[in-house]
Amino acid sequence: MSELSSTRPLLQVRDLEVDYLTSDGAFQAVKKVSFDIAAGEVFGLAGESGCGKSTIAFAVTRLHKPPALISGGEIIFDGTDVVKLTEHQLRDFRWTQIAMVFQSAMNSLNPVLRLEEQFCDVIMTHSNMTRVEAIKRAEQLLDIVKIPRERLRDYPHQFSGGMRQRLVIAICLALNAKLIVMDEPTTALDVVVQREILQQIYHLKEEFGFSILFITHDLSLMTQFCDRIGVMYQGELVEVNESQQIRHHPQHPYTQKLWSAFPSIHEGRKHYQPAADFTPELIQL
Amino acid sequence: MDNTPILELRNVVKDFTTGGGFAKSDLFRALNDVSFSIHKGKALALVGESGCGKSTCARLITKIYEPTQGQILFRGKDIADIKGRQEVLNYRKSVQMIFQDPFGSLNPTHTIYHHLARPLLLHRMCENDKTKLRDRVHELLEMVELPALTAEKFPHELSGGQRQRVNMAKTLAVGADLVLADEPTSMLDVSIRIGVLDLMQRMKKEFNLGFLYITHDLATAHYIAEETAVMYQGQIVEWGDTTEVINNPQHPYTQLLISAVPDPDVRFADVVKGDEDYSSHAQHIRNLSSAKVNQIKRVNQNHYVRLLAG
Repeated sequence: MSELSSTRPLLQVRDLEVDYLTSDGAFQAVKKVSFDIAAGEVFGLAGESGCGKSTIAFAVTRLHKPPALISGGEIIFDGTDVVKLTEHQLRDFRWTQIAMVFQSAMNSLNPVLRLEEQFCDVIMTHSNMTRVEAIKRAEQLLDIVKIPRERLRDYPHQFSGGMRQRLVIAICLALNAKLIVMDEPTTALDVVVQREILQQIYHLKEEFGFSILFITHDLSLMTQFCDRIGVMYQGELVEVNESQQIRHHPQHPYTQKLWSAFPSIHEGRKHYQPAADFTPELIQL
Repeated sequence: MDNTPILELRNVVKDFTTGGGFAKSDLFRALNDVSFSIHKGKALALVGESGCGKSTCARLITKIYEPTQGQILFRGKDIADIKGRQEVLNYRKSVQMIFQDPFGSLNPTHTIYHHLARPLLLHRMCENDKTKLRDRVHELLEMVELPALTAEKFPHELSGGQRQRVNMAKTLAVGADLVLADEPTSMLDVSIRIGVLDLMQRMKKEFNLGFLYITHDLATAHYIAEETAVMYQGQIVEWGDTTEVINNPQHPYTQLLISAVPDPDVRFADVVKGDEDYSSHAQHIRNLSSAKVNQIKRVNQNHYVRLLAG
């Protein structure tokens, strides 16, 4: 890693303002939000629905559509201001620099196309690879997320929810993006599958060193997974700190309220004396 | 005090036929040997991943499906024998449901007043008299901590939490004994989730309602339910007092489920180090737990576990 990039954060968001234009005037969904994400860092945005966290994710990738409008601020990614990019420049920027896993990622695959087509579509649109090279790359990506290569010929409905999520992550890795935005990547999955996916993301991050902007409403999960956390409330970033600080010394009353909104099941377990030491027997069927 | 549970499932089995037509038809066992009981003023949490059969249980209880084997007893009486129009109506009045999606469970073209007055009239809980109906609706709204003004509003003017409260008022309107709550808080925001759970807690105590709380979220189950049953692929693998099941899990699937609930005090790096090969470990447990077994062992006073097939 060059010296420059280790001192300068990968992503700098400065005084970002996003408005939604409505018939009653502009509604400011994101109010003067500033934060940094360093290379290789996992940064979390927490908050409830409607607080603007997804709007930020869309703004960072410039995927927001009217009536949403970036009305102020800068999004500096590795030295370039994303807000000023033209449509043509954006095409080179997306996927190669920033990739995104959406909230309903399981449904973001096209149901009528084989996976092969979807991988090729992303790879060929955003790079100079030929179709043969693109398929080769797709096969490597499936290896990475531990899905058999031959399933590239399958359609999305032939995969389980967890597998589809892994496929979307594989597509995100296709062009070695430096930042992956994950908007509630595991919300629709059950906890065991959630853990499997996160563990895989963790290993991939260790291997490829990308940064993650991680968005979820689950503060426990976020504290575990992220290095630093920003808490959003009604469009404002009310608190930013290391995740352990957010956990043990939340400063803002809203952060404190969010913590008390979660019944934890682990508290009781730590001081519990099991009454019986017993395992279910195996029986021969 | 009468100790008969409001509802009891005894060794219920439910098979579905799949395929048919030109394809080979096959039997799919959605529920195997499911037994549990729900008492007045208590909540039982049915916890499991999607597709494990927890909603099928609710459908059997509401008489949408009939069990293939086994019995469902409502106050000691087999619900298969409830046949007459009036009997069915009474049963449906006593057993009410609250659904996951608060946006889809209220009619967008009617006011909240309509939603509450209708069950009152249908089940003859109130005279068809304007002032009396209005008073009763306001009373119901007050019970679920909503302002009387809400009656004039349409569903789209309410938040998810408020709509779920309206649904709870509906169950109170008809004087239900048992509420089947199918993931009632999973679509709500975290900060209002607790409020809705607290209201359920209050309904349980004040109106002596029995709850079947269906969820995939162990944390909320822990918060609201006295008893918990963990379900996997149509079988209850472990059940008993919630604190026992969560703090002293015996079945490998319960242990897997609990270990996967994020603990904010453990860094993810340490979690990964603890079990590098989580996926294959999880798969092994799933395979082990999916075999249909009918033997059960008692761990403690009120804590049971299903044996594993070797």
